Amino acid sequence: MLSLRLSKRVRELEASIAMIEELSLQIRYRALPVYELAGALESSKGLEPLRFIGMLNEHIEKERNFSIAWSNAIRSCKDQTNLKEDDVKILISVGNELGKSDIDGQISTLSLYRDMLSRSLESAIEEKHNKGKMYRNLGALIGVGIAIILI
Amino acid sequence: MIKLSPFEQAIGYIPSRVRGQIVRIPPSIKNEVQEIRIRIGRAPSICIKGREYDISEFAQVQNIVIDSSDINECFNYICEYSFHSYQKELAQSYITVKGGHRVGISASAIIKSSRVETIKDISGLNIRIARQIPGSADKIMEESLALGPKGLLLVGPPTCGKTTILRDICRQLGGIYKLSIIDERGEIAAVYRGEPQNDIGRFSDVFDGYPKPIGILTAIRVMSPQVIVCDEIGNEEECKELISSVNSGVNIIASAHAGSIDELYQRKHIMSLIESGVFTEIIVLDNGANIGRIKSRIKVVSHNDKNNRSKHDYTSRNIDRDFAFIEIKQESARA
Repeated sequence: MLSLRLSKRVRELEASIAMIEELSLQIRYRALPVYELAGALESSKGLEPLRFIGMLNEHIEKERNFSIAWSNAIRSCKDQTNLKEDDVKILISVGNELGKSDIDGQISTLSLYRDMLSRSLESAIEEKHNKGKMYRNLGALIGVGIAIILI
Repeated sequence: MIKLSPFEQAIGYIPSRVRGQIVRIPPSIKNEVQEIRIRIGRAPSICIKGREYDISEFAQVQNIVIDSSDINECFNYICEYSFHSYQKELAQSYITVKGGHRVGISASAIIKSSRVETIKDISGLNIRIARQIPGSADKIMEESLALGPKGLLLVGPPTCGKTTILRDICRQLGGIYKLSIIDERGEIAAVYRGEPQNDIGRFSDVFDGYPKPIGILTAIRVMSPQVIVCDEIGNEEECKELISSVNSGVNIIASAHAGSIDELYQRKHIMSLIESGVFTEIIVLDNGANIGRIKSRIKVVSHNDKNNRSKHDYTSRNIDRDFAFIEIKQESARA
């Protein structure tokens, strides 16, 4: 179970980086306004691990201020994410920065967040390798222990 | 879905506490409002028939003073929280919002290489309400375009109804002829996500957001229009493309800022257009209380046609030019 959570965190971080790349692409080549960016993310493939994206439009309908709607969507899916608090903070910051500067500014800012998420991903992969192995061995040991008790 | 009136659309961009006051204006006044203005440190105001009034003159409301948070709220609404999507427009200090309403922005300029790159410290916003008035071009259609499209220039001071009339010309001519609209500012067709919000005629194509010179060239290449319509012409590049379009056999219908023929003389690029034969008629529009009325109709004739001179009053100022202006006598009537 704990090992699975580590794998899911890796997948969510990978999806977050893919989301940043999609945002950069849509801003650089189409200069899409933020509300349309939300729609573009929803129809993008590979972002399924990020549950909040599916909730964005619902929150935008309730709240006109985009960064608040973005943050509300992330918080509403807090129970369904395996990301750490620091990862969630980065994702919320992305929403706070979207639309606040010109195209070059947006691309630079997104690149900064991409780097931050990449570092989180590296540590998540390392954690998955180290702790994942430990959790699996621990699980196997517990299993053997229970079997011995039962025999 | 409920269709909002142009006024209701426009106030959707106003900060909430100001909106609460504006909605209390009587309905008859709402229909007359041309502009809604907010400025930092001052009360919000509305513009009717060219005159500006405080909202308190029409509705019993407490006087409020606009602060920077109101301006920021309004600015975020008009640029959809997306500064990056409106860079070009911000450098020109206006954004056209859904419905074709143009929002003018007064702010401090950030200059780079002698050009306004962007703006900062917004001090005021002016929402100009775009209205479609079917029939507003009836008089022009009847008197100037009854025999078919021709080169026509509408001139008048700001808020005299040039764009409204152009929009109605598009609606009427675009139902008969292949017409391309070069809608650089998005005010004629008000395209939103590919669909024109205004009735612009079933044979019309819209080149939304295109700079006029590129739009004109593209339209001629790809749409083979019989008529090209564009709003507020004036710079050298635009005029150059319009001149080359004459050689393509396309009729140009356009508008330009000028309060009178005398003012038009001061605009050398437009005069060069006239000299090139792009326009065969100029219509001067009135404003203020007579908004949308035809002040005068001027026929442009080359000197070869001067044998008609005796029938008309020539203006005296164009003797040294290759063309002459002839004022067409007419009764003052609403366009």
